[in-house]
Amino acid sequence: MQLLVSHTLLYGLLASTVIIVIGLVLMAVTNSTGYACDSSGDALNCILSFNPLSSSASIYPTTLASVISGVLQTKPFAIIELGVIVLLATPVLRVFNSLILFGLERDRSFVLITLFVLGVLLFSFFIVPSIPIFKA
Amino acid sequence: MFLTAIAAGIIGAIVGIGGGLLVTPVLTLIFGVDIRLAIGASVVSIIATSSGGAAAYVRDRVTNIRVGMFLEITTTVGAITGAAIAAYINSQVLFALFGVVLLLSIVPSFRKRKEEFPKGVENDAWSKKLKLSTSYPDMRLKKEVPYNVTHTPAGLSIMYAAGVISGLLGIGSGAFKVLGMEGAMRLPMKVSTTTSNFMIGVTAAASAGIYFVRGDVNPFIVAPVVLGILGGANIGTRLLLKMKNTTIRYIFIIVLFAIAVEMIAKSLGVPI
Repeated sequence: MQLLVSHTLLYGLLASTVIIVIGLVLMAVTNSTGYACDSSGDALNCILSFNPLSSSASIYPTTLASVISGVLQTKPFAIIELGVIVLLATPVLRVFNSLILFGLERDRSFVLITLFVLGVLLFSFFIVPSIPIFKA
Repeated sequence: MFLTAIAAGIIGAIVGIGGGLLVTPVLTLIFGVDIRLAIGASVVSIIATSSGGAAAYVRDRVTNIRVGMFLEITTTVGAITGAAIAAYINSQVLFALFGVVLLLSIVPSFRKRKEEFPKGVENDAWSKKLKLSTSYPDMRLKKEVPYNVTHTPAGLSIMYAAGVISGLLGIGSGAFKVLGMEGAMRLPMKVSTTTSNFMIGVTAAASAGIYFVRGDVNPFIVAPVVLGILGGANIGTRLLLKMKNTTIRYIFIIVLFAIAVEMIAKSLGVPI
């Protein structure tokens, strides 16, 4: 049982790492981020002190849709973000995995428990971010 | 940035803490990063530590997934609660509270510092019903060690609190989780830290979506941090499996102390 869970994790992590590295290499090679703030010279300051509150999302995407469109245009920052999103998905995959395994073991209490946890997670990813109270 | 991340990953994987408490101050103080971006990077790094370390532990059957998943019921709800009220609470008060609680928690951990395995633990009602008690293979001793699980209601409450703090401060609160499992529920140290490692990833994921959408996740900062932590966690897990439970406890106490001091300093407005 544990083997399957750790394998999925591993592949997820590998995928995430590879994607992030691709994004980084692309950024270094093309010397740009794909958005405002070029990654050369004084651009460092620009990137590091970017305050999400005061400016719009012009230096990197913040929604799934904009990340995907950025990736399709091979923008380095979007690619890195895709890798991050894959990383964020790994715990969710892990929970999902456990759900299946508990199901196979016919362990009803734990199937319910895991379903609940999975539900809370999905709720936090898709529903919560659009509730205004959370956007500081 | 890369090297600090590796160090954070190693320590995090051994002690069951997300390393977020190490990452945020380093980013803000040494690299002058805006605090919001630092917290965003910290949330992502927690997931990196968790997933990076968990792969090995789960495979080697040290992590108790049943206990972890069961406790996640209240932890995840706590995380969302925490993120919800984040805007309304004075974080300075929180930091102070957190720091004090941690300091107080060091006492029981310290008293047990020579204890390699918990003794005389009986399963409680929940533990029996859900079959939480099991055994784990200890690589150092090269044998299978059975253990029981008790005080589950207390564990659930502690996890809820840990979840709230997590969502509020953008950290993994692994320290609380380990304390809850090891102190209240009497799981062996290694099992507590590895299961905490598994749990922090899930808890951080519960608040990560919110941070991402708020624009707190900056690819330029996050990329080296993530890569460093994944590498570090890898090393950390190999180390942990070969260590004594008591050694891990010692490291845990030291890290707890450092975090507590940092928390209190933060609440007083002193940058550490």
